Amino acid sequence: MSGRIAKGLRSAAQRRNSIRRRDWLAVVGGAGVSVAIFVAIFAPTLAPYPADVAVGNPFESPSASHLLGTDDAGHDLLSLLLVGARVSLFVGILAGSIAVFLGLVVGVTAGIVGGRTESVLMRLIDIVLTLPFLPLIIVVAAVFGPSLTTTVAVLASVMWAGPARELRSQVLSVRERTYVRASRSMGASTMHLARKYVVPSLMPIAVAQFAKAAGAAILLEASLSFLGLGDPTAPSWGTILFYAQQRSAFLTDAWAWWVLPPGVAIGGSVLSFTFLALGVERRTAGNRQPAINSGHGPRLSVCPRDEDSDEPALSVSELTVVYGEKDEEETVAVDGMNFSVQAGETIGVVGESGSGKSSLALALLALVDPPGRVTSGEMTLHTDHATNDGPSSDASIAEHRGEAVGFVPQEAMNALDPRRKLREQVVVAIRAHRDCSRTEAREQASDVLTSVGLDPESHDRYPHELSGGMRQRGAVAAALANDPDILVADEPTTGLDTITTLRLLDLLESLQSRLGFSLVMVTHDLSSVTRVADRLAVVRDGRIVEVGETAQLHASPEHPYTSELLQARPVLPTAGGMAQSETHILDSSRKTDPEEAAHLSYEDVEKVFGGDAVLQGINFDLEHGESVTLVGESGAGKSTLGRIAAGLTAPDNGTAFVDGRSVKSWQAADRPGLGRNVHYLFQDPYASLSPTQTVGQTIREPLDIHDIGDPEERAERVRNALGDVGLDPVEEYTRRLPTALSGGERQRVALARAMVLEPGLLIADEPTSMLDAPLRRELLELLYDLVSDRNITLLHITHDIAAASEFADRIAVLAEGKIVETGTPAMLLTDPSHEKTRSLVEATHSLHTEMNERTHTTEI
Amino acid sequence: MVARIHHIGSKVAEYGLTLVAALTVNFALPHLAPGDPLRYVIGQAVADLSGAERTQLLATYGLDQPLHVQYVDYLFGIARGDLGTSVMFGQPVASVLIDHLPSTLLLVGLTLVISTLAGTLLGAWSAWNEGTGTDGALLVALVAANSTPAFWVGMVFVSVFAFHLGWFPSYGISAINEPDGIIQMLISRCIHLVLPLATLTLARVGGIYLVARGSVLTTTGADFIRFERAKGLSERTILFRHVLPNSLLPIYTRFTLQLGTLVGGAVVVETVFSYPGLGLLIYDAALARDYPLLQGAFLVLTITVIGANVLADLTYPFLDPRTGPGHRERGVQ
Repeated sequence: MSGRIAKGLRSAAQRRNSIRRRDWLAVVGGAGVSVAIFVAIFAPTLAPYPADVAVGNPFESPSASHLLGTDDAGHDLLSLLLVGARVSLFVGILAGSIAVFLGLVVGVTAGIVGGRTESVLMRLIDIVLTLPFLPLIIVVAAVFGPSLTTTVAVLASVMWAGPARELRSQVLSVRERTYVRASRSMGASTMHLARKYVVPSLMPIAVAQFAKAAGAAILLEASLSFLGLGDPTAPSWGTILFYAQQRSAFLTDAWAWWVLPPGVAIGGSVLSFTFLALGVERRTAGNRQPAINSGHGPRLSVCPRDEDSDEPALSVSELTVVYGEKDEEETVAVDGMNFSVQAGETIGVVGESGSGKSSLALALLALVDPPGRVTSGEMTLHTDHATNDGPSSDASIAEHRGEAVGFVPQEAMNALDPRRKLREQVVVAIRAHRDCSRTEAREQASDVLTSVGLDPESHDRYPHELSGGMRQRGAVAAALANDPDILVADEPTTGLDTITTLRLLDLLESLQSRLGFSLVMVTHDLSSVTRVADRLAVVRDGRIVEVGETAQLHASPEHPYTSELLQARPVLPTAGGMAQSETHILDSSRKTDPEEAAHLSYEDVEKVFGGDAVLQGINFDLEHGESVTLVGESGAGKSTLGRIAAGLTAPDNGTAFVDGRSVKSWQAADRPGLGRNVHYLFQDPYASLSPTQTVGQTIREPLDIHDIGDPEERAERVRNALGDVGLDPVEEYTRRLPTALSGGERQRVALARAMVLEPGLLIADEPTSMLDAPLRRELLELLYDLVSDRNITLLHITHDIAAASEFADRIAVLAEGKIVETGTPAMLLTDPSHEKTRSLVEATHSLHTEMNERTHTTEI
Repeated sequence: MVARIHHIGSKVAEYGLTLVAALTVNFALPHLAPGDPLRYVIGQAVADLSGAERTQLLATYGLDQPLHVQYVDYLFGIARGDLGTSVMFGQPVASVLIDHLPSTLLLVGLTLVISTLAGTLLGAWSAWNEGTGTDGALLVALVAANSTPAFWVGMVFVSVFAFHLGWFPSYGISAINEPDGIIQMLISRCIHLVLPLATLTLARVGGIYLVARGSVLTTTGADFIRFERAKGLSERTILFRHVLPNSLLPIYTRFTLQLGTLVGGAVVVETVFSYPGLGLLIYDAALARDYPLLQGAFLVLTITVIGANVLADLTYPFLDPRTGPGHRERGVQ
């Protein structure tokens, strides 16, 4: 779920100012705590009698004058209860506060300072958490004599450890967030990060921890008093029960009013504190969807497949999918779509993010998760797997999932159960639909895994022991295990580099020709789909605007959106296009002010990750004002190289120099200077912007960090930056939150943030890989325009050599740990010398220029 | 292999440190507290001592030595199993503790098993039905159970089930007149165990429930769950065969906190039911200010908790194939 749909939901949520149903925990808890505190504060006023004086006969039943009766010494039980509230709540709240305060200090110190201090503190926390609390408190109270001071001190001294651990976890997790790392890369000091990001995020957790600690303290104090170790001068609720037990209350008639009320009072207060804690935690955890899948899909009819007929393998009409809670703002993701797939064909469902294409795929399999639901649609399935002889309507797609229809989800490499070996997961798929023995199933599973190109030795591994590509093949194998008639693949090539994409597409094609299934490929990767699909269905805003054969849609599209979409398909530049880059180089050599731009240099840089020598001796220079693109396969180490230049990672050997000075010495002597000079543009625009800061604040942050200009100047620069990246109207964008922006807009904001400090060196790490294909060229054009206008040296990291060749002055190819080749785009594309370059160029050429030329006999 | 040994070594060191911490606390407390240190060894009798007797006793117990010498002597004594002499019983603390330990282990052990099972299943069920009335009702009920003091629940149970209904005995571990025959004795023990067990379980199950619920909720959002659905597995199969096993780890890692507080709960429950275990012993010792016994009991409980943690660390890799030598993160989820 992304883009438009998510935006719709979020705006609906923002409009809802009233308390949601889900907040009842916090409300009830808060109310209970307030009542308890109120009673505790006003106890002496509220109590009808003094608690320690005999004011009635022993064991009087409840009456108008003694609402709860009296105990065995004639004390009014209600007064005892009210006064006890004071002590119990005082101890609970005080001990809880001290515990959380100590926990904050220890947890934040450990999280921010790190290193040895952190280890020592964590050990200390572990030790304290292991000691049995109550026995320890009993020993201390027995030795020092019971008193309120002792109780509170002992409680606080053992209860700080839990909150400390929780808070440290939170500090660590905040530190790792991309937008915090972005801030640090711009030169922000630890204080700045702590103030701006860490502490605000800790507040809700600290509140929840306080509530938990207070509740636990009340219970512990009650236990202590019950055991006779409470302060005799300050009787709490536990003390009442202590006397009740001592004086064998259960033998008397007064039992009910003596014993029950204190217990209910304790339980009620602790319950309120716990609810408050849970409610606060629930709020910060955000919206979570209910676990059980409603399993609703379109109304389904299943018929056995007839070899001779022209009936489509799958057809659905008037399919509608809607997102949103009932009775609230709804967004229509799929708007009455009619869609069909012929036997054995490959159909591509293409469109931008949020167009509804993924929802379509999920709806076909009734896998739409709440808050989405299918509200209409009739689907007919023609399959070999039909159980009856005749057609059956009102069937459930759930029975046919994994058998008649297979599904490969987005990011299939994360779709595997981490606790089960690969083969087991395929076995599960097989045995879900077939009655066969374990051994048979395992043999079949091995066969399927081999057929997708996985070696037998990888079959019995756990997912975390396999590479991403292998995991993806495993997912495909599981989906195909039962020989389905239709395979639905949701964005199968997203995040893959060119070579891996080609391999996957070839695999799918060969499997299809062998097994004969229809393939429905939902994607925004126009090159892939053009290559394999017989037909394309173009989706926009929940509707299919055009369907037709691939070649025909490219040649003569009928709908204007189709031509707009398909034209965005990346193409390798022609000779004319590349001539432009040559002039670009000539221009840069005539730069009037070479002093402004930075000069980046790598000398013998090496880096090892977990046993893999990722970088094995990089020697490479970037001249002032140059735009160099660094290309290579996924995992080649390109990002690492970029991070080294920005000082985000340290090389194991060798040095990176910026402006003649090593990065290490920059960091030691002038860290803010490095942040001002070198800007690192992160890959993921959804993570690199803080969700709680407006666009204006985000762009202004670098100016704040380096204390540049007064507030008016800063506002001016922010406005200019927004204008430069084309986000108009500027005033409106300044006020918006990143959550209301699309991926393309977010990346522009990140660019604006990069420009506002006027850095000499910009490192752009895969700036377009998370954007829809149609948007990528636009963003790259913007990037290169900005960079050349301001004479910024650019290191552009990407796996997409097509994009590189259109804009870059020079391309450097990173493979097997070394820069294997550098040259102008013209040189590399027409006459590559290294075989790695050649295979990259060939793969790109193959992916972007080949088109599926198969024609279909039936027209739709 | 080397990494594994190194890891086990560091774990052993950590537990050793915990033990030393407990021992140090034990040692330090009487010396930090006000009053005559002899009081912490022989109890109230210290008031009746003459000057000469006092000096002689101080020498006998080594209390006239410098502090660090006393500390070392103390540690050696512990290593020998010498925990001092109980004031109440007049016997070595160690033997008193050994007599009373098994009953508590039985009670605590059974509670652990039952509350973990019940809490996990209820938590998973609740998470699976998140947002519905079932979930809400379970949440309120179990949090309420967790919030009420165990001793109070015990008192209510005694009154209702033992006194008014007479279904179960209200105190002890078995009938006063030990019945003949193993079977009868076992039955008698079981009957006596019911109410304390129920009380302690009720007090503990809520904590596990919340952890299980949270953990299952996290797992159901995981990417691989949708894929299992796509394979055609039923919802029930997914919950029990895929979601639950992946959710167990945080529950397992809560062992530490669980045990520490469970043992504390046993103290109050045994007191209410006069169940002759370590907990009741602690209570009596606290009342009588029998410090050697009190400190010895605290030590034994700490050792028990450490032992259980070691067990959990050793078996953790079997649950999580992703980790090599047990990397169990102890504590809160």
